[in-house]
Amino acid sequence: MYEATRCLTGWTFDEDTGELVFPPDWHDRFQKWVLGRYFPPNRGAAAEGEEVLDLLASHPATARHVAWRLCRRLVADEPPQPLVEEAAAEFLAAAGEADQLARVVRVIALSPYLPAGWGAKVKRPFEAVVAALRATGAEIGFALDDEVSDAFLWLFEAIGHARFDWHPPDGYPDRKEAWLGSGCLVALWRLLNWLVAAADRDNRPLMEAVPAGVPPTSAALVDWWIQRVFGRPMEAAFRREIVAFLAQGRGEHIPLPVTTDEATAQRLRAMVGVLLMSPQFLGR
Amino acid sequence: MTSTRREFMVGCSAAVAAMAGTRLSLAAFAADASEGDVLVVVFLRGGMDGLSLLAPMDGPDRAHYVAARPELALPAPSAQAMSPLAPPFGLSPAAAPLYPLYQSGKVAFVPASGLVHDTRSHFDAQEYMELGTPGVRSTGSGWLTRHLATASPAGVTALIPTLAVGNSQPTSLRGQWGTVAMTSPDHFNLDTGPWWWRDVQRATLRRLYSAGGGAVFTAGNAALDAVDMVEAMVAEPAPPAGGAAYPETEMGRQFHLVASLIKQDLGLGVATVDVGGWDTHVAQAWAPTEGWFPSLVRELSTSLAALYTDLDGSPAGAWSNRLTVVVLSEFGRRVRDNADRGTDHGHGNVLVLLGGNVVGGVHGRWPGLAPEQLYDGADVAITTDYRTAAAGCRSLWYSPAQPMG
Repeated sequence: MYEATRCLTGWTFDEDTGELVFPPDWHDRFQKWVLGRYFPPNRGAAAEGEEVLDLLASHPATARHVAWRLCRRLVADEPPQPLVEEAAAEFLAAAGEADQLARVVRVIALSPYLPAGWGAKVKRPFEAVVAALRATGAEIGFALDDEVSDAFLWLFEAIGHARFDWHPPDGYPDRKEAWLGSGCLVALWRLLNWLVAAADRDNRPLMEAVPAGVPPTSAALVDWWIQRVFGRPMEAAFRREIVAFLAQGRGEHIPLPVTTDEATAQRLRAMVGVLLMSPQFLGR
Repeated sequence: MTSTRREFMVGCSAAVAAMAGTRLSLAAFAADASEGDVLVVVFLRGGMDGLSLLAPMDGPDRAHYVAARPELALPAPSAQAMSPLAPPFGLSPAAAPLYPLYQSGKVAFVPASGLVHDTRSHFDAQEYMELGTPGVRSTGSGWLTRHLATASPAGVTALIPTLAVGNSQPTSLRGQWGTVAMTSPDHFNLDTGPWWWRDVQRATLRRLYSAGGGAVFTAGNAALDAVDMVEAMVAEPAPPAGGAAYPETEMGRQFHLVASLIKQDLGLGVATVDVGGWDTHVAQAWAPTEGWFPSLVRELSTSLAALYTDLDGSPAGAWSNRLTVVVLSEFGRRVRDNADRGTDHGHGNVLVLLGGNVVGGVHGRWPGLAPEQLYDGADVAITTDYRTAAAGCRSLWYSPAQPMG
């Protein structure tokens, strides 16, 4: 590792243009050994650095590591070893190709392990928030000095999954234990529940809760929102619980005053909040 | 308490309500508190420069220390002098708030301790330390999780067994689902949604999370329990007792929250506090009491002293006798300072213990600062595994102090 860092001495950027530059005096020009390969002296920072990166990119350990990271991301916290090996082999076979990573992902996505791992992963908070934004159709319209953006970001940062804010160079954890602590869950629920209730700066709700053309009955509204949030029908017991929440003792086919009564309108929003905060929404 | 208790009983699961009923009536009739000890683990993220906290004041190591740190050495005889500890050590003047507690035997320092593993990477070292398994990062549970599994007294039900102060649950508590992780009770609720249906939402969520097994369901239930309990019992921080003065900073509020929860007598066994900002490569200090590092040390020392004073002065009395605070960091910093008035990643460090039953003093074997005594020719060597110092505090540090070797 020390020898490799010596090869990279003198790599820097121009503070005005942002371009990569190699001030000759900054480079350690003497001979080095990296991963068993001899680097003769006086070849310059650019050539040596490029060679180190090539060496690392084509190393079998890199293939295994990248394959393992992708399998863990897409399939399971502890991905099946045969799949990792298959993906690593593809990584090496496609070395140098422009679509190298796409080919690796294709191997993983088409393997029988992917559907077999359905539901085993947990959505990381960023994924859950993006999924909720899509499902609710909420547009934050990020802007500076904007109270809606600020409120969203304040709630979002409390979750601990802000973009590019993980300090160690190994990336945010990709195991469920890291994201299921009470602090993280409560912070996530706070944001999801805020999304269904919040209004924009013109006091219009971020989420349109009453879908057009759907009868305002508990059954129809719940089924529409379940399809919207999960993209599929849910188990009967789950649906029953959600319908009971919205109906509050009425029959599920009785129309609700969702546009004329404030308490009922809030209940419809609260129902969507329950869907987003449910254990089913957290699974992936 | 009556109204919050009633709301609390309505909102939460039957099992928790039953426990709470017992505990709350105990609290109402006072005094008969549980006997459990409370371990507070303070992790200084970034690699605290132990040699700027505790340093040789005299003896042969004094010359090595001054020579290695022309810019940063703590002066021995001056207006900003160190406070004398067990020879040859002195304590940084920035840590003065801890000194009276050291003099009354409540503070112990373990120099030359740390992670016996050759890494200078923050994230590897922190993971190894918090998992308790040097060299292995795939361990499924944190060392505090395992400590709790073995140390919880039988038959005692704890409402809030673990508290993690910070935005996320630290690795040391990996797998401990019952942990309440928060920075402030004000934001530990679900009250951001439609206000009319808050209670009904929570009741529905409770049923949804009780309807299945597996990690998500278990964790969700634990989080809902935590919300119920925080709402009912820790909404307002208890006023400091004994004249304790916490710094009016984020760090001060974190320690105040820990003390509040301990005094609420909810069975807290372990609390963790994360304090960042110790990776001082550049401009570490301008003077022994001025600059980034001394300010952090002063804030930390004031917070620790306030925590002890608060618990010592509480009417329930003996809280400080059940308290053990462990202050540690992933590694120390190089003996020699760098060209930017800072210090780089090193190895051995000083670990600090504070509590009513801690045997005060300076413990362990000091390896010395002569060039041939340094680890890798550059760092303080490690003679005490941090696990011996931290997890074994009962067996080792509650017994008579070992003489310095």
